[in-house]
Amino acid sequence: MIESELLRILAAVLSIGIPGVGSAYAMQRIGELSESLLEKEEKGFFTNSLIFSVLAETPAIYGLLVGLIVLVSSGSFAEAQGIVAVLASIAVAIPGAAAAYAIGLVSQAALVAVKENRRLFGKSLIFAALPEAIAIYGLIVALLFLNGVGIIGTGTTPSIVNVEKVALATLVTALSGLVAIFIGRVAVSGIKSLAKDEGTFGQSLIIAVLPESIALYILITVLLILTNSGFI
Amino acid sequence: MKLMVKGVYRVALICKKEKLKDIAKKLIKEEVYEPKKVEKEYGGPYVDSSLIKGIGYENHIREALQKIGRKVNIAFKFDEMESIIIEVVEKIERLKKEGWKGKIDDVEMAKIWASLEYIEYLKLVKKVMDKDEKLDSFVLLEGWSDARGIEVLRGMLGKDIQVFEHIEDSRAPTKVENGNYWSVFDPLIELYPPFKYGTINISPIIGLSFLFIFGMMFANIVDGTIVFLITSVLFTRKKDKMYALGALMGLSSVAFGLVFEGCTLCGIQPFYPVFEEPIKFLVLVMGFAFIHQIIGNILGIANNLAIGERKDAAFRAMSVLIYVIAVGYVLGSEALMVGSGILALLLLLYSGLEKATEMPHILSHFISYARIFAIGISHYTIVSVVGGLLQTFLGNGVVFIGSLLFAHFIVIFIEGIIAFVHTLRLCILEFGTKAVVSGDASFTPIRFNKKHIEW
Repeated sequence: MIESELLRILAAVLSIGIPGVGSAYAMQRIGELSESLLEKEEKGFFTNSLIFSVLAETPAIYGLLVGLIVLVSSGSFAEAQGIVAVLASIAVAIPGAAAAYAIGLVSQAALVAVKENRRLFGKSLIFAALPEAIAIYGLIVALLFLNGVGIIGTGTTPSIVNVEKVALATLVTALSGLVAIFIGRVAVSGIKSLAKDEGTFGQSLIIAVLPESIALYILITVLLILTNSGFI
Repeated sequence: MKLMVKGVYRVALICKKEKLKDIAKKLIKEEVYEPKKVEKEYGGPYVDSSLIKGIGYENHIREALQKIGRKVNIAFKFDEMESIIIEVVEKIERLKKEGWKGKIDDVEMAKIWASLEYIEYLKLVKKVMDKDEKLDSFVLLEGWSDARGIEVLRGMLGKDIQVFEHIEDSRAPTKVENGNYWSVFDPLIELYPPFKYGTINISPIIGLSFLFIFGMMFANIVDGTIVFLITSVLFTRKKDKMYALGALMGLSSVAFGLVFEGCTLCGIQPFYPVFEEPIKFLVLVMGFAFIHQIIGNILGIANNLAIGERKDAAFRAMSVLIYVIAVGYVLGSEALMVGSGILALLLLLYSGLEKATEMPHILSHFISYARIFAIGISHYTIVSVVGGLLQTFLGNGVVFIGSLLFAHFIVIFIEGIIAFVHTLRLCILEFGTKAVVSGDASFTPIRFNKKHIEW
């Protein structure tokens, strides 16, 4: 029983800590750049910077969400539940941290573009949000894990949990974190292109989203693994 | 609501500086120009280079200057500009002859040369101005206008003002004209790549989709009410369409809050309590994705056919058939699957085999809607945790209400931005690439120019 409680705490620490550090790093980079670009008369630019910072904070919120669910869930955990909770926290933590890093990367380029041309804010925001998709996929997987073992939802806890399959699903989800960085790099180029010619928005957006397809295939694979394991 | 209108005139307006305020007032009255910007940008002769053929020449010149190590001020003086461009071009040519391997290619060179066209344009303006000796200062006002706008301008401009008219450009810009009610979605539509001339104006469907998706992601009565109240007040004061859209987003949030969560205080039970069973929510979201993608493709087919793009229409029809095959699979109907499969293959062959590379996106765009589930659950859980923490203040009314508002403001600021951005993404990328056929230049309404050039 004590081990399960330790697993619960470990899950919370991982899901809150890892994406938290990623978000903090991204926010630091965005903050530094914002401060160097800020001018007293430009109140709108301050708000824009703030919104980019909030975007970088999102993966940390997803991690916090999973951590809170694990911590506040009532009753004591069975061993399998504890292990799945830790795996869920890894699934949300690694892609979340990578996504935060990538959001930071894109937001910095976006800030420079917005500083030059205010009208680019809305479009730049969409580019900056692209890597966040990977954090969201991590969150989806984590929520399905937790739902599968009855930590959330009204479903009953399955008598047998195939931990090995869940671990493999976690591994592949964690790997998808890399995709966030690739999306981020393409999105930075997209913003550069946007800054030169606003008319390229549509094409740049489509190109920037292409690497995300791989993360979606990973998500589909994970969903199939979970269906096969009786989680869905 | 009207279909697409094509802007055909480029207008350059020159007048005495002293007359600017009168003209600005008239323009405001006719709603040709937004009032705030007139006040903000008034103050001298302005020229916005980015309006000329849509290319920011100054940026190209500045980049070129940096590459050859020459420093310049942010604002060029007009007289300096011409000599700087010539200097840059000559220096690059000389360096190239000497074997320099700098990063300026022919395209960039062409852009720099094109800057000279811009100088010629300004010279033309100055030449007209010089005809009248009394006209010692002027204001340049330029942009695209449709025929109606030209008539409006002609009717209200005096003798001291010149209007240049450039007859239809080969890539004249398009604009979407929405009626009073649907124009609330204009801030959204402006984010899309320009719709192609002759296609159907689907702004209402985009707008309603936006509200529906946002509502699902941000379903909560308290958050929705706060968003509605704040944006309504701001709209009443500032008359900005973005605030009106915000108010509708708040209402959508309230509506979905009632459906998904109910209202404990009002004694309303949730109609469809998805958050208690997350899988139920996921199924609902994917069902919506299925319908939304089919609607998007059907609109896209209509748009393609409206402008004679039959091959693209065939590809979109094939995408619809992929969904029909999925229905056949769920229903266990082999006939439906085989029939749709054969038809889809034929359509793919007609649309061109290279289109097959786009097929994975049919699946990836569908799965991408799962973000509604993740963000919706995330918002619900955070609000629940906040609600749980506030229970301790329940006995003290003032503190409870204060804490409730404070906590919800934070949730709205953080989660609201997330939901907003991802709704935009779904509407622009996943839905927009299916339903909208874009490609023309965007319409730049007539306006005062931004950059200051000293003569």
